[in-house]
Amino acid sequence: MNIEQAKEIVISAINTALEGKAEITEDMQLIGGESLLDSMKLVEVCLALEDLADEHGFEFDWTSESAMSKSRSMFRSVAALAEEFANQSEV
Amino acid sequence: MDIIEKLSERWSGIDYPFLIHANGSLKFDEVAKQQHVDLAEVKSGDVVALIGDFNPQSILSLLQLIDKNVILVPLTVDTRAQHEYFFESALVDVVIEGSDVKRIHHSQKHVLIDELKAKEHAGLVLFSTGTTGRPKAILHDLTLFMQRFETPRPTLKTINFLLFDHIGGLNTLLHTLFNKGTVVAPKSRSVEDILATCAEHEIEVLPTTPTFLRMILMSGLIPEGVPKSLRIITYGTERMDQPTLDALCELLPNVEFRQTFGMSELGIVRVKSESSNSLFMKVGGEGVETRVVDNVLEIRSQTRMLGYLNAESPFDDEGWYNTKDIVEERDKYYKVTGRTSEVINVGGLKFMASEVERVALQYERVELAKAEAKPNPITGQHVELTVQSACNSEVDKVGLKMFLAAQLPNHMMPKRIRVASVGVGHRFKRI
Repeated sequence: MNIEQAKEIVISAINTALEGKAEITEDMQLIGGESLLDSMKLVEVCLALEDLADEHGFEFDWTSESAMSKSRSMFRSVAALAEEFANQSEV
Repeated sequence: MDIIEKLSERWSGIDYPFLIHANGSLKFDEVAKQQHVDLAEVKSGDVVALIGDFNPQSILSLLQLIDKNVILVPLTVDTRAQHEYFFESALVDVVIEGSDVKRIHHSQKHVLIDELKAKEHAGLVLFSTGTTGRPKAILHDLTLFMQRFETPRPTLKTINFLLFDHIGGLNTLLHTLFNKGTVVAPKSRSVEDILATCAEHEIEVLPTTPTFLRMILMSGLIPEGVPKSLRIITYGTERMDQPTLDALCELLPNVEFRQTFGMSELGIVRVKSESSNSLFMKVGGEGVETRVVDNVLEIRSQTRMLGYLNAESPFDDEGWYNTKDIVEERDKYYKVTGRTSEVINVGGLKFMASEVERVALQYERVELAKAEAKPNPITGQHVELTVQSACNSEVDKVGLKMFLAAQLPNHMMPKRIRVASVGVGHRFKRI
């Protein structure tokens, strides 16, 4: 999966969590800043990404210990999460 | 007991506010001038549910109610879906929300409430999760609880990040009032707002949960966003993980990290972290004893609750309380490594899986329901729900989700719902 496809998927997952109430840009922060997601909504997004990864034939890992150590960077922005999603699809 | 008069004396001539909130600040002498809620209807010994938050009106009503020797049940709007259950379990006589005072008529009695009334003591009812079933109504002797504030103690400028219906939140508010400190109520609980509030008001102590600290780490806003004034960050109510604590200590070497440990059943327990980067802690304080039985921490405390209003006493014959926390012991310091029961903890808010299942089972065509905690790096845990439909019928997943959202607080909402055979999972496990 390329990064553009991953961005599209991540943005659609966030859109669903926010019920389409806001416009999502790829540099939008996921935590803090102008983020519209609270911690519970971010969990929803990650679970949706798990399901979407499944549909694309790979496993999206965001809960294991190794994922946790990456979590500081991967939840920084929409683009960062998309990059991690794309990377995991290539493994 | 006349708290407002006593506090007025302590605050006389002091010009700084005791409370800074989103819409301004409040000095203690302004409290008396506040529009009082008409409490003429409320009698000593009444069980009074106060639905509020850390706003001036709720604080004033809270102090007046303690003065009236009522049995106080502090609640927030977040748990509104459970309020009817809370009113019933705590035998609530009066409900106050804003300036609205409403009496509920019932003929229920409880021996512990009658004992408090006979002593003319104020009471405090808090709700907590139990080992089985629905939240338990914990009754404390508030008159005894208030005695801790008689001895003056130093205060540090604090954010009140805790909730109005938690023992820790109330303790912070009362400690600040009695010791002439300042407590700041943040605009929201977002990482950005909390850090901005810390900087703006030169906050010294920030009480948090591990979930909040994980969010702060992921936000990338530290260390730059943390003001120099911040000396102590406390964390509690859910289990902290070592990688998060290590990362925090590395980024904020001048901040002391302290673990807190409390159970509404035991009152306030003093805790001392072995060091900033250690999850080992010493549990103690005056009148508090600890022991470990089969790796589980037990505590005996003189400030413990009187009992539950809707369940059996959890204390053994000698007064020991089983915390259900599995601990590792090292030189009288304990580290919590797990729980013996099925409590789910989402961002520090605890509840039983059965609470979610009970609501799911009320939805049409749901025959079996199983709610499970799943770990995640954001809120620690979240709930996933599996429901099994009655024979030859289908469960409307969207409808079920809406039904659950109307009945459950946000943190208890299952983040994933599956329609499948609930029994198979169990059998599969056993095989």
